[in-house]
Amino acid sequence: MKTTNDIKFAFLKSIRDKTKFFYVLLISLCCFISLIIIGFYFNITEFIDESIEKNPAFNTILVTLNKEEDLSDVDHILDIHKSNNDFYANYTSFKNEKFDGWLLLSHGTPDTVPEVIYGKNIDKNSEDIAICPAKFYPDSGAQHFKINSSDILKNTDTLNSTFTIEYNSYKKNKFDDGIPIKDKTLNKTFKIVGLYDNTKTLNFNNECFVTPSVLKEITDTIDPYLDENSISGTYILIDDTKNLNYVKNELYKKGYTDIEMKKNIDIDIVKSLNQIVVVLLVVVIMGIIVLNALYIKKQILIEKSNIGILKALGYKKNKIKKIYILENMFLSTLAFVIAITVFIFTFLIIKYKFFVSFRYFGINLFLNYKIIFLPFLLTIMLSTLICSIILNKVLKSDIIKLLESEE
Amino acid sequence: MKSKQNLNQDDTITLSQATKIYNTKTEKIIALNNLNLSFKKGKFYAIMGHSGSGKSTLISVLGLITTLSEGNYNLFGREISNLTENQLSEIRSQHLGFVFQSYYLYPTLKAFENVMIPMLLNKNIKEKNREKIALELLQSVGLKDRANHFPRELSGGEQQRVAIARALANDPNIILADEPTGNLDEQNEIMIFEKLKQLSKEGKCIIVVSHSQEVKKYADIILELNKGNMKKVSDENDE
Repeated sequence: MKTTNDIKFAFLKSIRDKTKFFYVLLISLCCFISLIIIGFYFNITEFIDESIEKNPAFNTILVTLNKEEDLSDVDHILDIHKSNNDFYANYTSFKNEKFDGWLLLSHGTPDTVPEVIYGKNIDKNSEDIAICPAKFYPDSGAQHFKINSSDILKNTDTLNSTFTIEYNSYKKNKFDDGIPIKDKTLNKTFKIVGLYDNTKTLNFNNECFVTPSVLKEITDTIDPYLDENSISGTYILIDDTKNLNYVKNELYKKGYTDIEMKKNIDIDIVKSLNQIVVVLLVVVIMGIIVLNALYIKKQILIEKSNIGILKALGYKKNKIKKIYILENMFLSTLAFVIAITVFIFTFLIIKYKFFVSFRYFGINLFLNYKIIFLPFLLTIMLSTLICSIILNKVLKSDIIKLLESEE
Repeated sequence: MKSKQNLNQDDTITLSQATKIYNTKTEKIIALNNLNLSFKKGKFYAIMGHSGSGKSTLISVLGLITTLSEGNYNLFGREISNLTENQLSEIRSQHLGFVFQSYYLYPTLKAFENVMIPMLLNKNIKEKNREKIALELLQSVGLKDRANHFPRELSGGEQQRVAIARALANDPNIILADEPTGNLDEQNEIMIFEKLKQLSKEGKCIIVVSHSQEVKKYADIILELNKGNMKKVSDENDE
């Protein structure tokens, strides 16, 4: 018997049996639920994990610290710099009717700059260069949710282009009362040599990284009378997230109590989310296994007399097994196709109807093979496996017993 | 259709000292006790007896559905006692046709598709000819106009005739029928026995297990069993 005959036989058996519709519906529902859970997992938890990994700001501790030398004996520290060297430039050449023109200029070293995805990384010996976000948002403060994606400046617009910032120098007033007065307006032009993924690094401030020496030159010009003792804080970059607690403990031992993270995601919440997802997945997987096993077993038991007649007519065990497994594969594939279709529609509706505002913050929904792979395994492979196991057991019965088992 | 090879035209089936014992937890049940029988082509055999007489066991043994505990089973001169399950399946598909009391038609397949099921195993029937042969077989049992009906749309008698057409699909030498009229009314019973009789006249070996006295009118040879023993063998010449 050719395989095409097996397929045709199995296909006719499956599509004409209306009682199988319930099974298809049930399995497609389970599959849909697993797609939603796994989709959630990959879109939220993995996204956050990836952001933490790609953005050094998540490894950066902010402390009130006056003497950097104090920390020379603490391991795992890659970089220490003053927080007040970071500078918000509110008059830049980006400013136009759509863009507010604000930029955050930050301390840029190969360690502090997020992974560069276009162009090259920062070079401390090259002045007047900047690593900027791959997407410039019109509003650097990200104060509102609605944004037109066509208003976002993308890498093709900005890479290798230049921008200019405006800043003022100050001088002492005639009363010498500590309140500086504006002296003159200065310009500084930077060439954007590299871009980082500000979406995946959850960085929406239009933050550009420039070399520390240039940054210091600007901040010294802006505030030449800054008291060394008035340092508001110091950023300490740690080599790896897993060493954060170690460094924090060392800082506590040294008497620093005011310790914060530069950029923070509550790892406990992420872990809890992961645990919830895992528990839900286990429940769904168990549900699919139990439902499949019960339903397939019931169906095969109902079909026992038919299996018996096939054996009596000369069908070999493997042939019968093949036909019934093919039938099950048709049904589970149909269930999978229904589930994936409904899932994609649901996904698109959520993505383009309800999730638009989150995209402004870089939290985007995506589909990939990983989301589909496990539900595929669960729905088709698992059903096939269960069907195969139950069939093996049933096919061991002799023909008489199978025929006598008619409902 | 495939011609049957190496067939002993006289002795279709020979059972020698055939014994079948079922072992239960408490006792041994001798379903067939040292039977010596032969079945020939072109003959209509009726196996009769009370419940528990061993007639269903006998037809199961003849249909290679059950193996003997002791003795020999010779089919067309070939000893089949030591054949593998797959070899027995091949013999069943090529040489045996089954008709059961409960018809056992596939509910999701139409009448002609049910008849085609055994043909799917027969490499000698071309795919394009299967449907044609199925329709011819249905015509031979008077059901060509019901070919596209599902079993649920057919009466009991019609379903049994579809089952007979299915039993004939691979042109087997032997038709085994276990209580083929058990669920049918008298009119359908006569129709079924007439068809089986016609098949025996065409040269097939027909073996029918039945409670019905009606079968005696059609059978060439009547085998009466009692507790696994052959009580009486009579043929048409006796009457």
